[in-house]
Amino acid sequence: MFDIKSKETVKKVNNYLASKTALLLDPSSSTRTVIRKLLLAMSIPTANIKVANNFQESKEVIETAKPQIIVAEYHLEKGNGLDLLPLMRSYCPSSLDGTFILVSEKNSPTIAALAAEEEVDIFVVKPFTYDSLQDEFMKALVPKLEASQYVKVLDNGKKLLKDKKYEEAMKLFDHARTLEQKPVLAFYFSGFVSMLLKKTDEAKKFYEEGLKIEPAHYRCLIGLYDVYMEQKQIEKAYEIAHFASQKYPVSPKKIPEFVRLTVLNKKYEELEDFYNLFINLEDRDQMIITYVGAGLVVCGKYLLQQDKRQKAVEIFSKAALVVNQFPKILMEIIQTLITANLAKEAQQLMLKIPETVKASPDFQVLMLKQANLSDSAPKMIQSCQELLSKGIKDIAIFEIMLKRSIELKRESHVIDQIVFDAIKVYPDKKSHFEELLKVESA
Amino acid sequence: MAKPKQPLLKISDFENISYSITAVNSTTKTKVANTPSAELIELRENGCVMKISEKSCSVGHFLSISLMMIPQLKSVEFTAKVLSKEKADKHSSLVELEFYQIEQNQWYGFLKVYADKQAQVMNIIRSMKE
Repeated sequence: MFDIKSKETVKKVNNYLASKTALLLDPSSSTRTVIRKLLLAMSIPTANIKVANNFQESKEVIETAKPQIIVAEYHLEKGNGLDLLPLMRSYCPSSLDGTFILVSEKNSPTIAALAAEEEVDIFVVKPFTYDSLQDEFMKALVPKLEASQYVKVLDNGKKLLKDKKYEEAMKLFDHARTLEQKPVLAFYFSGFVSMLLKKTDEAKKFYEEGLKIEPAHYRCLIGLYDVYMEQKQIEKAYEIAHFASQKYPVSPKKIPEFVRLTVLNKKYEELEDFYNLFINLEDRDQMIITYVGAGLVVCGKYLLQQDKRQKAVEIFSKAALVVNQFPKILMEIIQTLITANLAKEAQQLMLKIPETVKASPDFQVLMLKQANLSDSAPKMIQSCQELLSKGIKDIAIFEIMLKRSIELKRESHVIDQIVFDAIKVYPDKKSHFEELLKVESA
Repeated sequence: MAKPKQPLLKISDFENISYSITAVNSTTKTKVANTPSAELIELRENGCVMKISEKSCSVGHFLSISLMMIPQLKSVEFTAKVLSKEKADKHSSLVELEFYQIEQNQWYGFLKVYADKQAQVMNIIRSMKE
């Protein structure tokens, strides 16, 4: 470990920073003032400290000044500060040459996990003390200045990876494995390159070697997880994901994948956990909403199959809360409730459908199906006729009209006409309607 | 590897800590700040730097401030003197406060919560990257 407080170390860091350029992107000028003060105290010349008020301004500074140090607020009006990191890596591919600092008042372990996956150097939690800020800068910068041969070789390998020179990178990672007693990261990168070269079995061996040295090494675990997913060994992938998630927080980006993995492993009842997480989540992107919502629908359907109807209704209500901006999934939930003969619950959810969607043919048909659970046969036949006259010709309309007409004992030529009209629209369903006629008339 | 027993994800991983602020200018006897317009920027041993609305105080005024930690619901109350004031943006100022009256242990408790959070976040980043 380095003594970050020693005069010699401080001098070394200050000398290093004296030739660097920094960019500060924080909408709060107050935070900028404090961080700027620190950067000045750490010897970055005033002229080299660029300030940006928003994401667009930052991009312009990055293009012209190519700062080696970026301090960015996570939550911005448009986008987030993390989006600057790939821009920095485009001209500063080495993590030894560039330092990225994320500042945020959000401080959950998941947001830290997200920052770690994006390879952020420092995450500053607001509010902070000047000393803690300085300490974190030192802790991030000193190892870059004092990098061992092993770290430098790995870093060169990573640069080659960015240029897609996989074979050359592999040679460096092979070499790196000889430079350290416990070269876990070298094993990880060797596995990573093997995956890129589609050598899955080889990648697995590297990751397993890494895990022999450090059984809970995050990157090797995630690498092994990717191998199992690639090999469609879903149970093993789930086991690894589970093991990793007990040791490390899960990045929000992984949530959709974990929902999928849980479904694939048929751990349906665990899907409810995702709802509990969802309501705690600050940033819910469309992918997360869709997957968590769809996962809950799967969970509800499973509970219906198990005849746990009350619990299923509870889950569907939660799913509806998650996907309330996604009418398509809401309609699927309503359809499921109707199929399960849960008319009242379906009706309640229908109220959540936006007015714009209520005019759509799909929703009109859904309303018809819901009404069919309680309305009289004459009323239903009239509703079916109204939809058909509007040009809506969903198969369910013909089915309902046929069944309810038989129930009403309408004249045979009327019933034949319904079957004739249905087959005209759905010629491939001829046998289906004929069978329906036979069964319902029996 | 043991068979999974715990849920795949932990709710505690998604929890943030935060705080709310209420402040009264004891000199002018007016209410001056509330979250979200008020914000703590820098924490110090004997004071802090805060962003508050521009017209809320002047240098030399005393502010009575109550901070409530969320979700712990622990409060820290103090009176502090405005040592300096500078414009932060169109509607707010950055004020440097020095404690006049405070239960020091409460303040240290507050500092510790944020210091621990900072350490936790950086431990996560280091352990996942290295």
